[in-house]
Amino acid sequence: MSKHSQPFAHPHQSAGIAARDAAIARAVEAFEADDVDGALAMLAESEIAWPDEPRIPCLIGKYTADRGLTADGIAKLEGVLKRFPKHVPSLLELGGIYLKPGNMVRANPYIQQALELAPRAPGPHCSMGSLQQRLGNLPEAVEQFRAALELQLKAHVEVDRSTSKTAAFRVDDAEGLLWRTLALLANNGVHMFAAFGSLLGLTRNGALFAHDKDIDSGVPFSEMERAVGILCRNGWSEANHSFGFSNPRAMYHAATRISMDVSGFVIDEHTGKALTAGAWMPGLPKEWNMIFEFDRIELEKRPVPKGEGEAWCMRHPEAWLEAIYGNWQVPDKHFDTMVRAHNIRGFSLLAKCFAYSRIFEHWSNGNRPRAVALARHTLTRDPTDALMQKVVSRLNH
Amino acid sequence: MAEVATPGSEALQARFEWSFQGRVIAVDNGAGFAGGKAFPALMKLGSLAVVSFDPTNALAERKDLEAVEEFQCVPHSTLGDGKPVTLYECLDARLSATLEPLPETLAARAAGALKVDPILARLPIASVRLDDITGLEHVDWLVLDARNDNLAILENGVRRLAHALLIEVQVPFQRDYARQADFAAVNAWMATHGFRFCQFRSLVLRTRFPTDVFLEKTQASDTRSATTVFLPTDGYLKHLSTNQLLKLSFLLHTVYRLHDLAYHVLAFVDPKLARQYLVAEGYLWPVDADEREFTLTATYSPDIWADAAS
Repeated sequence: MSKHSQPFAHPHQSAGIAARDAAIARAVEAFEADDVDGALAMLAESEIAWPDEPRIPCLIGKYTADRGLTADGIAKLEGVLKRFPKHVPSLLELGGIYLKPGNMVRANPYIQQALELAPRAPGPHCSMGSLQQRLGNLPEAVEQFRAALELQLKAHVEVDRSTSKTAAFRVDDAEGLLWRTLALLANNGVHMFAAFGSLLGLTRNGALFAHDKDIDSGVPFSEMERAVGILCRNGWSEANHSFGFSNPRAMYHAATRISMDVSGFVIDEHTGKALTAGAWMPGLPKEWNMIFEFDRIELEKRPVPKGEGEAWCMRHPEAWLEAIYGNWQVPDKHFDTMVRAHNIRGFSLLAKCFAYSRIFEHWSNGNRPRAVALARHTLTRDPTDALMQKVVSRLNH
Repeated sequence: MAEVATPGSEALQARFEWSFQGRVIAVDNGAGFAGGKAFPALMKLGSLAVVSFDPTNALAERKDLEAVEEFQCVPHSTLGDGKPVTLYECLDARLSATLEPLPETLAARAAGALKVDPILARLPIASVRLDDITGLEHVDWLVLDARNDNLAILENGVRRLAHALLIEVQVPFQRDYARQADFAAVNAWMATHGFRFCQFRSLVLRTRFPTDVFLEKTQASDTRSATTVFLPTDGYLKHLSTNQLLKLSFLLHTVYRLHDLAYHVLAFVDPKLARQYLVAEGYLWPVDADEREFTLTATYSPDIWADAAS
């Protein structure tokens, strides 16, 4: 979305533009504070006041889709394009909405058109990268994400403005749900255990992290389909076809509105190590996927601390956490497992996709500390990468 | 680490053994069961002893059945009330029966083109009371087609059927024969003799689309007949011996593939046995409640890319 005011505006026009931009900014702030209804109400008023401003109905469409009314959101965005056929943000929003559940065929024309209309804008390249990633065309996806970063270097980007929308994570609800779910699965013969951020929180703090956004679990990959099947019969559903990944699987608990990633573990036939995602996509060569490796997975059954029953738990969580987080006892609020995990095997194409797209996302959202932390880490993967050198340099200043 | 077998795997199914004394005694009136495709394979299991009454002598050409052990065929005879009955030999052999075909049935099959009597012969044949069959102490399983007087068969077999495990009767919803017993009549008899309706199967459907033109697609929705299955009531099942319950469960599983009912009957024998059955058939994951520790191994969760790499 453009952040420039119109040139050569008349003074009273400038005041109107400022009022309009302020109204839009307030709506965006409300949305980011998880007040979607409030944001939509403000935008509805603004749409009446400034009927010729496409950003307003574009945001209405985006937020409407975000609250689950996907068809209404799409209709709104389509309406914007009827009046403003070259409105790139609307094209990208529509592409993104279709891409989320994996409808690449519907997403493609919108993203393609946005790229044709704005080949020098970074956003369309990032969207095209996401599309190519979902298609499994990872070399092209990497190129597109890097092109987005190249163009971002040349663009004016507002910094130090954390704008990512994070719904409040209800720690007690999430922890209760985690233990109930682990006990349910154990009772049905599935070795599901708390993993990643959930295990880190439970081990370091004795509770899940308040800043978390979902719960994390692991299962033997051979039990994955059973686990998903049992979850789906007990209030969970798979979210957006797990965004195209065969591992981890993204589950959503509608009653509590809590998400859970379920990571499947296998044993590497060559090294004997336990492997998990990262991110695995069906049909990709092994080396293209993003793989985390651990020495062993050893579990023991324990009574659940809150509630009834028993659950499978990591026997030596400290060693497991060290493998992935390094010095896990020291909090690092900028740690992004998908980019900075210590036990990522190599710097695969999918790992590159995650690294570049997340740097771009945090940068675009004005979250400079996180963007620079990821960029610095990515540079350690390939210190000769001139693009990353420039990104780090730019973000540092 | 304990090995975990896949539910429903051949290995687990092989581990579930049906163990009962003696054979399941089956009486098949009309020879529909003995003439069926599955019959030779079922007899090879060595668990059935079958007597087939074959009023139309339909099995005469089935030389392959001569070598089947524990199978006896009684040609030109039907179960009934013990009095001679008439066999209506029809031009369309599929209509031959000891009940008189209705004129509309004959007309429908002949499509109005026949100039001869569609009933070729009316032959007297013997009917046998089920209760009078010597050497047959009881019947475990009775199979009746729809071309003989089923109510007479049931009424004259009350003693032999007192401990029956399963009764299968084909019933019409649109009669083809005079005095053909319909579902209501059969169900009423069953209800007064300790049985309850279980299910309809093998529905025979007729299309009501025109048959004298070529249709690009078709549909048949009009139910002509169905096979009905009757089981002892739960109250009666409680009083069956373990051996009889195992026989019934075996029948439900092996012949009818009604796994939930096979489980239900096994549960009267032993809930643990019933649970083993669920695991063996893949309905229940083999949870080891005593398992306290678990180490992930390559056998348990192998590398998904292993085949591609090799």
